[in-house]
Amino acid sequence: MARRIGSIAVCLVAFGVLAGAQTQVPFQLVLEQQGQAATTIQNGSTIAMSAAPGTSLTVEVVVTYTGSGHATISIPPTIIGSATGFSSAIVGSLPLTLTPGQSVGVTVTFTPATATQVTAQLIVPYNETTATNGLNSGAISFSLQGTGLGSSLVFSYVAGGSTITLSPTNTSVVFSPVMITQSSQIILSIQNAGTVPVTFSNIGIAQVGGPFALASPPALPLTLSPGSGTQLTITFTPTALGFVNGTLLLDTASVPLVGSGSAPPALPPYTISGPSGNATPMTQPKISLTLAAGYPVAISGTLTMSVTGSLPADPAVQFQSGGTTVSFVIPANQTAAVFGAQGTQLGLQTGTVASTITLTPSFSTQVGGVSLTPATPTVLQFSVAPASPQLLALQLTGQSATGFTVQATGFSTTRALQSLAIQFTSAAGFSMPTSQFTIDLSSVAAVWFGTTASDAFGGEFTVSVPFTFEGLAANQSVLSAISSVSATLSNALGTSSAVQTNVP
Amino acid sequence: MRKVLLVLGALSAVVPAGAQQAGFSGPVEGLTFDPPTGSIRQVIGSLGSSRLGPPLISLLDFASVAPGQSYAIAVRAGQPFLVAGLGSGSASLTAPALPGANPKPEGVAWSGDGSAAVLYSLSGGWIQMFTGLPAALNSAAAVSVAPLGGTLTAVATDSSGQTAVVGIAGTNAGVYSFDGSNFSLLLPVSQPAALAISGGTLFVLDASTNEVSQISLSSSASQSWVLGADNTIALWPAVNAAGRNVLYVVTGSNPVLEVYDSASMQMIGSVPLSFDPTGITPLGTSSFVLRPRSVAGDPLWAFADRGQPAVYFVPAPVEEFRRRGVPER
Repeated sequence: MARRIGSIAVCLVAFGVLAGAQTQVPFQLVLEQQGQAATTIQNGSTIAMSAAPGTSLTVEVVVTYTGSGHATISIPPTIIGSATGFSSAIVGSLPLTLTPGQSVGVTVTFTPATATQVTAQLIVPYNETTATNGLNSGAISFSLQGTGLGSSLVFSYVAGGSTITLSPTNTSVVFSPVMITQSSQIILSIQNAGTVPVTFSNIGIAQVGGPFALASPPALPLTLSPGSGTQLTITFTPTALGFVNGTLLLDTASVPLVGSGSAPPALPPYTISGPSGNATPMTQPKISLTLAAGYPVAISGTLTMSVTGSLPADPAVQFQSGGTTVSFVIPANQTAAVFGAQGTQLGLQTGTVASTITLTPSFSTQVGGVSLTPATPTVLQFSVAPASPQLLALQLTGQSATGFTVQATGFSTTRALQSLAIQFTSAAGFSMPTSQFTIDLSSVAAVWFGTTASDAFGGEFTVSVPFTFEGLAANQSVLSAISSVSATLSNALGTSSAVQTNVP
Repeated sequence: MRKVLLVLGALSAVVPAGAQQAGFSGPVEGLTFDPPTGSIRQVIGSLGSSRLGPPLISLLDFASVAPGQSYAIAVRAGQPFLVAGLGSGSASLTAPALPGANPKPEGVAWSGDGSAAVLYSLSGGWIQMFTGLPAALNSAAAVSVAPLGGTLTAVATDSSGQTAVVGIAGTNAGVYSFDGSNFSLLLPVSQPAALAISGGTLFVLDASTNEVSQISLSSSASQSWVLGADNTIALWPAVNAAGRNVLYVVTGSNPVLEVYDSASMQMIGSVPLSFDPTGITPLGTSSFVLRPRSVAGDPLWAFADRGQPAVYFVPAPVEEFRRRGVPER
């Protein structure tokens, strides 16, 4: 079934006369049209008329009686052939009688509905009365040939082994459901069933970047002569679940496209490499995420780090990129997650507080955002164990004439400390009867780790212990009497390694 | 306060009284200028388990924190200001701008104690010396290095701030000292990429030969060593946590951090880098920035030498600052 689309129309109008079976009638027949030269025609001729669908062309046949009696036309002209777009009328009131030399006009109007060719017959009955022959009946007759000027495009495609032609009740090209990550194609045939060539300057899918695409767009401009056609291959690659609409545009004409995406294939198994079991506190291990096999479309995902435990979470437990979430992508058909500028290996900080750290990934298709996360995603989990404290640095600060402050920086994953042991080593020429001091830190450490201010540092701390020294001569500095200081820290689980600082 | 008896000869000792005098605080590795946020931020915690803190002062074109970490020189809208109050964890610009300061400096070379600084512009080819920082500020007029010919590549200043040292590449390439009035050639060097002063010794890195020279500022005696690494871009002399005088060097291609004994110039440590360093800038007592952040999502890269050099990233918790409405650039 033909379907007119858009505003493709040809505005040509024309008429003409073709020779046909001729029967003598007592009339001179002259075909007239406004703006055109009058043409004498014979009875039985074919009048050819053409007009664009929706427009009209009217011609007039001037009928002049040439007999010796008189002729009477009593009934209106008759068009034989229904729904052809032809109509006819007598210019004047019926019945009318023509004496020799008198004329009457018979109008013929062609108003085509479609860009097709039609034929009809025009009959103008008359009676002639002459002195010699008495009353005779006859008819003026013309064949009518009408051409609706324009193109008429027929769209059709094959689905399920059947050819589907678009029509007013079947308006869209409909794809069968396609699994997200897959594609399907429909070959759309376009036939010009009209009467004039049609030229397309631009053909494409209206929704740029959408799931519909032209596989091999034709060279433009594309001209289809009457009776010829072409084929367009339309690809549907769904990126989202459910129905989606698109539009094929051929200049200003449009063809609706309908498709639907179904659930994508399951994500292949994956592994997250990184620390396992008990991780070393205050370290920056690398992690990576790898699929067992490539996935057909690009994946975007997020890796979320959570920290659980009985102690306040250490805010230093973060990814290298900052924060506790990081985005990644896995390019289509590849296996390694890429963490932005950090690449496939991403660092994280284990922090300084005993806790369990869990990395949980989520996955979705990069285009369309369809979730691919398994119901129970594989996670990476490791722990920072409660352990003896670690002493990182020992400094002597705030030097005065009589003393200085020993400043010890370290961390305790239990956020608790018992004691700080300090050992002074005197410089040559000096002695120190008591050189080792153990300071009970239990209470003051509990106070510190009980404050919200301490939460910002996890298990890290700096403890400062001021010392004054006696027995120095007036010209002696404190530091000249000491060659080095070493210290250890203890909590309930043990004692740190000693750290020593030499006095310059 | 604990009391200890120190004597020449064996005497008695005083046992410390009470443990309540021990005080706790949270460690802060240091302060740094963070280009993506245009702010000065603390590195909270110790390297290895640290993060950038919230901006202490923002809307800065550039800033350089003084060695004592209690003040800085910052550039806002092209004008240099002194930033005070960093030691207390807050900060403010002193108004007006540094008196007599040339606009749009691109770098600051500090003296060891932070009392003197040389502001400079490599693109503008000028230096300007400041002393008496932070309270009794004196500024000298900006001086162009154009009369030397060539282009300015590096700047350092001695502990007193009375002498600046500049590196010049191109015509008349070399290292020159400037006493406030005149430039004097210390050492002809083709491409002095980095300068640093430790004690009375000037360290010069010649990027064209990967050579390090040590020059005594008092005697002008010099000695040079060719480094094993190629494409060296920066150096910094320091005393490591073990009390050893060392020289840190980083390379730009096949990036690596190397540690040399500065007396013998024997390499005593090496750490390959997974990023391209931009220089060596002091951060904390025994830590240095190798690469500041350049865009949001980048970490800061730094190293600490607690006996052995180790390189760490410092993440910037962007979510926290987005909540506070501090824009990332």
